[in-house]
Amino acid sequence: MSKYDIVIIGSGLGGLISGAVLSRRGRKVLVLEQSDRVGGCCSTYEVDGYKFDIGASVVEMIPIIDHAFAELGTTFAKEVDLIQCDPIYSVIFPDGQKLTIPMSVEGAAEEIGKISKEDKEGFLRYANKFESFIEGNGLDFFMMPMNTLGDMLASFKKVPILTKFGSFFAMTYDDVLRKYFKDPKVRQSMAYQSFYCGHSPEQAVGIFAIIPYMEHKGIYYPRGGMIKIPQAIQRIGEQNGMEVRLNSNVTKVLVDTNNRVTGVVTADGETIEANVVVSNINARKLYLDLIGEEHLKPIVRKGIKSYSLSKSTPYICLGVDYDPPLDAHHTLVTRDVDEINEFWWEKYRIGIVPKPEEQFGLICCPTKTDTSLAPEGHHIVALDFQGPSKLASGTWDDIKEEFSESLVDHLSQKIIPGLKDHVKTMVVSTPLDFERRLGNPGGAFYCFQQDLTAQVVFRPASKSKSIKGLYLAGASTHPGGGVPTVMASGVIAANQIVENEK
Amino acid sequence: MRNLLWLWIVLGVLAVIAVIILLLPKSKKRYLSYILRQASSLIARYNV
Repeated sequence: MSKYDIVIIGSGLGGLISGAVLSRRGRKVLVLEQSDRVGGCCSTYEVDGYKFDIGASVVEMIPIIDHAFAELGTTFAKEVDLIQCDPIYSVIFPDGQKLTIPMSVEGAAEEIGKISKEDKEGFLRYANKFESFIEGNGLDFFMMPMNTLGDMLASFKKVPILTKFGSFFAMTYDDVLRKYFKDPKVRQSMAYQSFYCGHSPEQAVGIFAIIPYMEHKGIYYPRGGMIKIPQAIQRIGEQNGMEVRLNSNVTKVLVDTNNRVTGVVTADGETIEANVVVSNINARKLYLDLIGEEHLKPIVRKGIKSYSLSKSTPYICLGVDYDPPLDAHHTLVTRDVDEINEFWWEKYRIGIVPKPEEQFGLICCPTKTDTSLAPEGHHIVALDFQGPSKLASGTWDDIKEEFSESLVDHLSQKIIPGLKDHVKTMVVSTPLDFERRLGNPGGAFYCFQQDLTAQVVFRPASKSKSIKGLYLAGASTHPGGGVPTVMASGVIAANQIVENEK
Repeated sequence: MRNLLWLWIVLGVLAVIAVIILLLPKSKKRYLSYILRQASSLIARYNV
């Protein structure tokens, strides 16, 4: 008899929450994590007294996270010390003009009204529209299994508001912005958030235009760093008997002749038996490397190979000994939306790195929210700017130093005066570094593309259709990448296991 | 001629589609072309 009912591969948020829910339901759960800390992309490490986050830098879409913690019999606010970010973000336009967006919808409308009176009204209509989606329980869409067309149709029946928003699934993010806003600068101020789901405004699914509105419903930072979220889930899971083993890399998922999982093998040769395996890693790596093509039908092999890896970016973390002139936790450095789309199609997708003066992206200054992350009087500035995961020529190791130095130099001259002269510590993580650290092919934050053709039933199913006893959580499966969504995927996997694996 | 009516109808429909595509802005053509390229994988993806 095996010691564990369920083995979970990867302690990213999806895997951890799945394990914590299952252990609360009385299952014996082991979580195996290849790195030295929990959380995957939602984690934190310390260098020279600065606590740098690995990837995720805030939490939003709180109702989805609340739902996950409710499955653990507690609340998000009770388990994690959350600090509200208000203003929610600041925008720096190419001409140097700044716009700071407060939490309140009315306040945000006033700020937008300073750029365009017509778009102030447009913003209120946009806010009302997405508020109706939330009031109609539209967010439930992200918390339901979507393995089959039947699941999808059931969701439309269960949540009627989805039918009213059907056109938003057919539109692009860009279409939705153009529907509500006429002024290019106003559109710019809300365009970058499409990258939170991994695509340019012209390629992201229209329903994701809810993201800028959701920020007005609450955007928070966990005191002490993003790792406090996975640590809280780990703590709750361990109280219910869940075990987490760090530095334990799974190299094989064992499958018997009936195509049923029987356990896993770790890099040090240990075989751990279990009738159920939850994978929180990239599904391509799972199916092709850990399980093996010999266990998959040709159509499954074709499907899993057809996905493009999602976006990754170089991420530069700076510890600085001054108070940088930034107005919010997040600052968006924007460009014209057409230029952003053009860059995405014509440069990013073929591996071209933009010049510093062509760049756009996100500056995160978490110490504006939580001063405990850096030594007294010091701050953290994290730069999330554009760079493809695979370069047209050479590798990220070849250009890492030049890329980071030229970007910091440019931002110091144009956006954050004094930055370059105050850098005390710099850690640069390129897509290649993310691949090495997280074991994630291409360093792809969301595993796979998240456009219309790789969503819902066209994303790998959370209950495997080809291997019995195998379940998926994390960014590879519905509802895709992002802190709240991967947590939802973990709960979906856990509930399906409780239902199907007695 | 009457026997060729169906051909004229098909050609007419194709011509209308061609005109619509030609009139689309570059951004929409780019997006549609991307979606159409992905469409061939949808059945396989549904089975994963």
